[in-house]
Amino acid sequence: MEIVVNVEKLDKNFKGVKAVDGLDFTVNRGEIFGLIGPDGGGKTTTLRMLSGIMKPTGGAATVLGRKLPDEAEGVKEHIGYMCQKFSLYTDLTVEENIRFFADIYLIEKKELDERLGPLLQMTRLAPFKDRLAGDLSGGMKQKLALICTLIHRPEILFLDEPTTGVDPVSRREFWEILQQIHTDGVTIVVTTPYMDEAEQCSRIGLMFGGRIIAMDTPRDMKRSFKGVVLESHPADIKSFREIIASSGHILDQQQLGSRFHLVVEDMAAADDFIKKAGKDSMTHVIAASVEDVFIERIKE
Amino acid sequence: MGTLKEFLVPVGHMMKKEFIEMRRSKLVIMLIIAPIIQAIVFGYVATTDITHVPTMICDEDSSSQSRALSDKFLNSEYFDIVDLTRNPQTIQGELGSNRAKVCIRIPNDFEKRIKRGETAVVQIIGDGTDSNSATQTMSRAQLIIMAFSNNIFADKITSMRSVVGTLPSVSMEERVWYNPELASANVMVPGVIGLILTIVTLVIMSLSIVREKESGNIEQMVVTPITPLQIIAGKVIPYIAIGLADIVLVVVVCGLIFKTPFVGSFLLLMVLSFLMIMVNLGMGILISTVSATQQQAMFSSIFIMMPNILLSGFMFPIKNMPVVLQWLTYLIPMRYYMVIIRGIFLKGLGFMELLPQSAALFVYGVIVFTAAIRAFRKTAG
Repeated sequence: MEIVVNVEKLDKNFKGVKAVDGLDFTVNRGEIFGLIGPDGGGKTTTLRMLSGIMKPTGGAATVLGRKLPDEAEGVKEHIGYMCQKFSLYTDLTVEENIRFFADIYLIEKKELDERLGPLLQMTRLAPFKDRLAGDLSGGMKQKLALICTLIHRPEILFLDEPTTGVDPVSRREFWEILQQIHTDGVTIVVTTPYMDEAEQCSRIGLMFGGRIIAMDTPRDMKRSFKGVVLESHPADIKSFREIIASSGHILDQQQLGSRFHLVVEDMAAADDFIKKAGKDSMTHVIAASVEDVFIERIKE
Repeated sequence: MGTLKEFLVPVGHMMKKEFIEMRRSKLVIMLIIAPIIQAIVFGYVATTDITHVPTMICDEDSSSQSRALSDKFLNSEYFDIVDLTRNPQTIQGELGSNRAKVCIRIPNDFEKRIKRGETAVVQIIGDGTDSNSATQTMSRAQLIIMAFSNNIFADKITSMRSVVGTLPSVSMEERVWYNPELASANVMVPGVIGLILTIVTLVIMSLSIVREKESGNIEQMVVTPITPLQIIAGKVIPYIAIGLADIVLVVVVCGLIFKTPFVGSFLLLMVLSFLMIMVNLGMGILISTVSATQQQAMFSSIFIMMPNILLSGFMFPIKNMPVVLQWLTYLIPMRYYMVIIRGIFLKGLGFMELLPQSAALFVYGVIVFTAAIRAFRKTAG
């Protein structure tokens, strides 16, 4: 497998605050690599450094074999970067926005005309190509921004929280488009605060406090979960809460409406709790999610 | 030449985009219409000439002499007689309520004293709450009374000519150069042009860049092959064009409305205005690099504009300022532009006479623009 992004001991300090702290990871060609974690975890800073916008304070990063930040200029034409707040030119139409970015990437008009159709079709923006970008919905804006970063056919796409603030339907559609781009052979590095989006990635890194606290494929990541996750649908929530409080094994608990999401240390503890909770609570073991892993790791 | 073309092509794309945005956002209307309206409004407002002062005459004498004096005021365009009374008790009320700004009070022994050959006294009561116009009004009134007095004196002399012969006298012949009518509009209107130029270029430039920063477009462009210098060039050139177009517009409009004379070279005005535009655009870029939001940029622009208005000699003569502030005015680019624009408008000065100011603006422009490009490069990564 060809490594297209290689990050070693990458540091970024802002006035003494470590935004990125000794980061190590690699991205292979053709992967969707997800940097997942809460706000302030250093995801955006990492992406900005990899796109050559920001200089690291320490460590080394290479993108497509070129050392950053010294060789950033040579990398630019091979990467696409979509920043978090990218909202395009609201007074320009969809097509004018795309043409503007194609122009500054110095793409020939003939070539652009060939690329424009398929991109508009893939994103289903073709009917809106004459609409002002300012009049688009949030999801459509993100798709337009994506086209603008794809127009020069980059080998790697860096996407900074592209689905934040986008409605669930558009979010799903956006990921479908990303999967298609991925199928076409483009390597994607994407950040997101949504743990459920981890499933869409080939590999994920959980980012917290400027570090990657876990890195694996989503499947192996979930397998690495040390505890056991239980779910209950108790009829009597109040007395169930008392059972939880009296049981010493519960490591983490979360009430989701009338449903309870619980974490215990091992299978023995799980069996013990299921007995205690009784059949009526419908307590059963479920598979751990990436979120469970994340919570477990930051507690460590 | 290939490299120059390589540099210019993205600049052209940038400009094209900028013009489309200007057209769509109706900004272009603001950039063309607003300066004209401002020029007209400021041109009228900024006149310090005082005419048609509401005046009351309190004629306690009601004699032929007192009426003759009253007529002099009635016939003057500087005074509008709003009240003619015999009762001095009403003066307080009229001045206090602002119905009249000045009162000419002629005492009841006016004619008697003149006939006796004594000095008759006329009282002029001004409203000191507006000290500037009170001073001007009082001296106008004084001129009328002096002329009246001289007439009486001359009549007397004429009647005595057989005895004393002719008397020597000195009279003054006034000549005011460059602005013969001493019309303040002629001085203010060119100043207003400088002011509008600053507002348009400084504010619009800073807002335009900050808007792109806010929307993330600058960050997005940094990852494209376009360089910060090309981004700046693409943004600056359209605004230079707008600034110069505004000058043409405002000069024409003011010439038509205020009949402001324009005796100098228009080409020279454009060339030197270009220097001023560059200074302003540079300032605008500097503001944009330190401002995160459009509101911040707006505030900073106003902060820069205030001294440009107050310390440039636009409203208050620099020579009347405290010495320390006079030194400070050398840091105000508008100071130089005021000399340039008034010099070209009213005196028809050429490039050689305006060389010190032009050089100052040029140096200023180079420094500000270099700093601006550096700062922009830094913020744009």
